[in-house]
Amino acid sequence: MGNSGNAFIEMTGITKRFPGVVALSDVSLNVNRGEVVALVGENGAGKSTLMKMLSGLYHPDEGEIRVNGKPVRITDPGCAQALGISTIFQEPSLAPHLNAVQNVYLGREVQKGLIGKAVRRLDEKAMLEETQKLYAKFFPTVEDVLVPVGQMGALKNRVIEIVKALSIKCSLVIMDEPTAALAEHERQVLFDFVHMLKSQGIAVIYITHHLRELFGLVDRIVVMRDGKNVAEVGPEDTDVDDLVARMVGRTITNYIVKEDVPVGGEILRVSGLNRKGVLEDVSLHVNRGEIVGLAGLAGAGRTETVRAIVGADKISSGTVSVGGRECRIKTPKDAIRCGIGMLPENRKLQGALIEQDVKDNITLANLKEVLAGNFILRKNKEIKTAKEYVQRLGVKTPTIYQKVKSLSGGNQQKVILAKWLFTKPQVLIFDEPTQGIDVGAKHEIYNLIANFVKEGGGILLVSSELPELLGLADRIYVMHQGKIVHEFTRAEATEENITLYASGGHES
Amino acid sequence: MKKQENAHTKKFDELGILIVMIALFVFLAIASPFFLKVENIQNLLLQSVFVMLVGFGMTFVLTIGGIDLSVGSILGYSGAVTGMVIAAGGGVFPAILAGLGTGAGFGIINGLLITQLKIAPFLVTFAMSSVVRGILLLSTTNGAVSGFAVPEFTYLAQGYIAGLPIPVFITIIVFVILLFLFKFTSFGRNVTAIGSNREVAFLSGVSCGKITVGVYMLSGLLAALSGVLLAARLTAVQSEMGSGYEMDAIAAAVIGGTSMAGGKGSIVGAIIGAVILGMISNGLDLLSVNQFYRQIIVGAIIIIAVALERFTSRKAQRV
Amino acid sequence: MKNNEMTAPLAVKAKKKIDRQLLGLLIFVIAMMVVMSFLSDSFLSVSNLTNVFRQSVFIMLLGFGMTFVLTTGGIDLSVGVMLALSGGMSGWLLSMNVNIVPAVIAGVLVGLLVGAGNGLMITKLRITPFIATLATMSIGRGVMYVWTNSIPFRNYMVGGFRFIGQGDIFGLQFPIVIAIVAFVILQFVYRCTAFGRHVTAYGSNEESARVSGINTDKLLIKVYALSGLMAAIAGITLASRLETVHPEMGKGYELDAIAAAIIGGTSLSGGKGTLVGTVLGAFIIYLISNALNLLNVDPDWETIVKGIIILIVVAVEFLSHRNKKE
Repeated sequence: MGNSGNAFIEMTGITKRFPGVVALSDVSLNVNRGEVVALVGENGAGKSTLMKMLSGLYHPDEGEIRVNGKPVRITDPGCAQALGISTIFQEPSLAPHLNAVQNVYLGREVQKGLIGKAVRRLDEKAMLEETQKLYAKFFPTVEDVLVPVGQMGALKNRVIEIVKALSIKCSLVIMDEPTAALAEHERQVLFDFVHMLKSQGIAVIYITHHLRELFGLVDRIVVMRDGKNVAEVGPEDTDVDDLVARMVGRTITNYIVKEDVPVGGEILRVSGLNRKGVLEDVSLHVNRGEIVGLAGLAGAGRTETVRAIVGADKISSGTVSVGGRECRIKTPKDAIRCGIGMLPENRKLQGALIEQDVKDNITLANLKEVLAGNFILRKNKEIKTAKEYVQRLGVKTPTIYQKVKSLSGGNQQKVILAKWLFTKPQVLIFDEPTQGIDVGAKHEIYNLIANFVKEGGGILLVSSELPELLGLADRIYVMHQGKIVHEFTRAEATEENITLYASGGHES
Repeated sequence: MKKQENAHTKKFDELGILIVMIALFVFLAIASPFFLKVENIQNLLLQSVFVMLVGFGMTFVLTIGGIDLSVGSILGYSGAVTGMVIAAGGGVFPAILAGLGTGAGFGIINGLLITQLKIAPFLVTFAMSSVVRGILLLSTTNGAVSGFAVPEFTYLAQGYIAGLPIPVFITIIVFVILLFLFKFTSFGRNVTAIGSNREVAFLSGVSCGKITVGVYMLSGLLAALSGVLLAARLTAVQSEMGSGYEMDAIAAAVIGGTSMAGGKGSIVGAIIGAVILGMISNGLDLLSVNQFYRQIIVGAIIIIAVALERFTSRKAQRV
Repeated sequence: MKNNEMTAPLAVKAKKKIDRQLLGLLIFVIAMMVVMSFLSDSFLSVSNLTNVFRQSVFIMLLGFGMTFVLTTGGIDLSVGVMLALSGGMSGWLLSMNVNIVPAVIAGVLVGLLVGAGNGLMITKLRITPFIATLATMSIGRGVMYVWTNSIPFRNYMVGGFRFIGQGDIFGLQFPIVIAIVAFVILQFVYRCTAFGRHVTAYGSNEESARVSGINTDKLLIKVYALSGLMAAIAGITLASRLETVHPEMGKGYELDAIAAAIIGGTSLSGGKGTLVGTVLGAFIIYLISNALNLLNVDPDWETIVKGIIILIVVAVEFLSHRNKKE
């Protein structure tokens, strides 16, 4: 491939080192006009680093980037825009206090001279008109354009980011995990955009962990592993298993294992949970040895439900019982005392103290277990505990004194799991446990979940990945608009009927 | 083996600043023949401990991710309360308790306002600083608080135990207690956890509210202790006593390697920081330089210390 | 046609939001005036209120700069000291018989440069605004003492310079004119220019501004330089008004300026600010002092009252936010 006259981007021999680690070594990537290229690989494979070079956030140590055949240096985001490259970032990158128009034009505001050319003012009217003319179909209502984006939902924010990327006169759009915050039907909207871009001759680089999305969407798939190119295939020549094998470097067959575990008595019962405007009469139960799934779209109230169960948010009414005994839970501290542990959605912001070491993280939730008296830490016991759990869960860390932020996502998740296992819980609640975790580590997390139920615990699992829920759960509750709308047994549940209930389709 | 590696990285921050302290010490010893005299060293230590005590409290506060700008006013007013109680014939011991209680009380109010009303610590303590200073001004409308210099009280500041001025001796005891509290108790661990990430700590069952109130109470209490000792030393409490101490205390803490962003603090570092500040004043005196330069130097030191921390930690982060 | 439909709700919405806060402040001011008019004869007179407004001008000018700084999510604790340094520079040069024009320009430059220095520390050394400006405050105050050797600068008043702080135009005192002009210009800059938009965007989401190709370092340096500029204008005006520059001039003003901005509804966490609110905030602070003064309350109460008011305002803001959420 490479030197055809049609190439828009040619990256050759790109190498990038960070202190102590080579993030990219001799990576090449070509993208032709109007081509949709998928970039896949485990976390840490170097996809985002490579893309940040095209957006002007990082600079290669070695190698060459050509745009339209001419070598360029992309010094900053403004420079990338000038070259016709725009990016939809993985992290939301809108200013919440500004409205859609203001966000779309941020950094490229239309201005008109007030006193000659020297003093210029914003031309709000021109920006509004242009937005309406070109992107009316994305903003059906007046509110969509004029309300501060911080007051809108995740999908609308994504849409604004896409419009923002499109509004830059560009020849290439980079989409880094664009579907992360979106529900299934919302993803379809995004896929339509991609097709539209392609038909306009605009190239797309598409990064995702959801490999199944790629088929029917992209022209070419580039696989990266450990900062290197490892494969380049057409979607017709591969399938999910094949891609996973290439990403991990070994074959993983059937990576969700479901073992038969005898189901025991009831361990967790939640009755009539209410929180005004958020949750309505949520009731569910989990038995010993059982994995119970909680499905629903983003914003359906799944995270709110589990946060309410452990006392992280206040509720207006409702009760929680563990092992048949009612617990008064006002704060997460009470939940821990009752034997409930919750692994929150966001590892870095809610799960682990990333600036602290592995040991401190593991003992944090059950510090009293390593105290002499009420107050004094027994360091030896603490060290012993940390080492024991690191070994038991197979956390890959040089020492227990390693800061958590230097570990990989999967290992961070294991440290968090170790913290909760050390509280000796009867019930564990997982909120999106494998989000952003690479395939190999996912497999290990699934095994740890399976082990926990084998030992008689119960699990409530919130996940947006339906294959994960269908593969692991014995029963699945589906939430819609703050209510539980259906309960499926393992045998009944399919992606189709869960999606139907989750999107409120059963009502019509 | 593994443990050593850890101890090494943890000590490193303090080592760097320790070298600065020694260098300053050597410089002053060479520059001034009076510097190494016993009285001068005693004097230097005595000058440093007031800031040091406040700096200990500030270290806890900064570690939990907050800041306490009210310590200077609390220091002044607590000293005044002690003085007023003695002057009114309340006895030395109850007077000291009253002073310490005042400081702890204001600290608790700070903590409650921060945790219950969720107002930014900077704002609460800044407003509190203004309120407490105002109360002190009202109490000194008819001139400084005085008439409390009974021997039992002034002995606190002027006496010696084992060749050490009593305030220095008290500070050493307080240091040992606080070091233990910081490093070897659940309180200290939870303070670090909250400063590192409040949400994580909360979800992990840490009582964030109680611990936060505790930290601000401790800060108020230590400021009050410093105020009581300073009152004993000065034998009169002016309305401006303790103003500017918050700056010195913050400087002492950040020089010592405590992070303004929370999650990382060093009690030992606060000692070194306070001694360095003391040496700067002392050195300016000995070298007959205008004391006004001190403020300039303190400001410059804070910038350098914080910039260095940023620089080194940014480098370390890049993995 | 369609545009009108579109812009109208925008205006209504924006207004509704700001108005609530400003309305609260206005009600407060009116309530205070009503109560005070019973307690004191002289309070509700044009001359008294003009006087209060004139007093509040200096804090107002600092507050304008602070509003920009707070909107970026930063803070500037060095405004009091920049005010003193700038006023000092102009006064000192005048006392050395330098012509008024270069003397004033030099004063303005001092503010601009110190402010830009803050910006450089914050962007290039990555020191948090709070610490950087706190350090500048300490250094600057030290410089004032060393420079003046604790003896205030005096004897620098020349006719033209006197006009800045004490003259009047069409019956309006010149400091008030300065404040009005500054308000009009800055309001335009804040609401209607790309710079103002970028300031809001940066405070709202730093990353957003950065990936949108805005040079954020340059932006912040400009914002802190602007704060320095406003401090310089206030300082030179105050030097002319007081006819002396004390080493302690402007001490504590940073807190009043922050108070003025947040009372007016500017958010400490960035992304939201209002200059109209800052005008009201500064006015209210001096209205309260004035009222206490007229009621013969011990001036020491002022600090206490000010502290409590700040707490109440912030607490009310928090509680109203919470209610909205519920």
